[in-house]
Amino acid sequence: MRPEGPSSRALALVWATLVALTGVTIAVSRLRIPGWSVPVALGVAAAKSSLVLAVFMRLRDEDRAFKVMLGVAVFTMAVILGLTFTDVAFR
Amino acid sequence: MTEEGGHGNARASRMGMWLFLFTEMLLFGGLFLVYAVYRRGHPEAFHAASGELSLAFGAGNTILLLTSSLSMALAVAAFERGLISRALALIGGTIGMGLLFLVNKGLEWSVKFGHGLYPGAAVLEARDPGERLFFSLYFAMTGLHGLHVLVGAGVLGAVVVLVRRSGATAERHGPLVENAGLYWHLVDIVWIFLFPLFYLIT
Repeated sequence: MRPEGPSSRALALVWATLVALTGVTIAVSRLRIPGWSVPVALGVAAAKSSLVLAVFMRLRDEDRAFKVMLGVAVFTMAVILGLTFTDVAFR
Repeated sequence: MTEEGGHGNARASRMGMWLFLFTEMLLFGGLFLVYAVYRRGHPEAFHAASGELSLAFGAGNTILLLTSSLSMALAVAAFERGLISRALALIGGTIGMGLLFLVNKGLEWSVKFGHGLYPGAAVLEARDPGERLFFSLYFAMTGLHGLHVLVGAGVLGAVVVLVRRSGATAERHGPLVENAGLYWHLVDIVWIFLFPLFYLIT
């Protein structure tokens, strides 16, 4: 059986972090640092999604099978993106 | 049904939901791939077109969806503790914020339509091919996402009706509420990626 879910306090804390990270990504994009806007935007988006997956969707309370499934899905997407860019980047 | 069997079913039901969510991830993943390839081909046009989107609308809608996800997570937690009416009120809040998101999206789109910035419009056809691609992708991806928000709100509405009608217990309806919540959170995650890629790459 799964452990008990996160407390209301923990959920509110995650929400506050998500809002703060949104502020960070907007602020960094305003600075217009060449070459950094996309990596920072994607890095912050990945961090935000991880928080939603782990706490809101309670993935951290699930057993290993769920995490392996997510890993396979993310890996598949990475392969598709990676292989496409080995083509597109060298045209 | 034994106690053990009950828990096994709840776990299997969540696993089925996660599998469905992965197909949704791949659906949006394909569109992100198209975005990435075209953006690489037209970096300046994408930057210029992105600057025409309203950051206030985008940021406001981001906060709205994040808050609706918090409300959903609190609803699942309340439901699990047997606080049924509190959970239903929180789900109602989630639906309300989802609908408000769509109202904002509609306003935002109608401003763009008013400026002739929609696929097939003469104003947009006359512009740089990269900007045409940007706006086509913007409407296709935020449109598909908006459809998911609408479906999510509909599913949550159905959950509220079902739970009210049948005298819910945390045991029986827990998986239903939780799976509807998982879907809502995934729609939030898709927006977490859409927002910076369309509004912040100026």
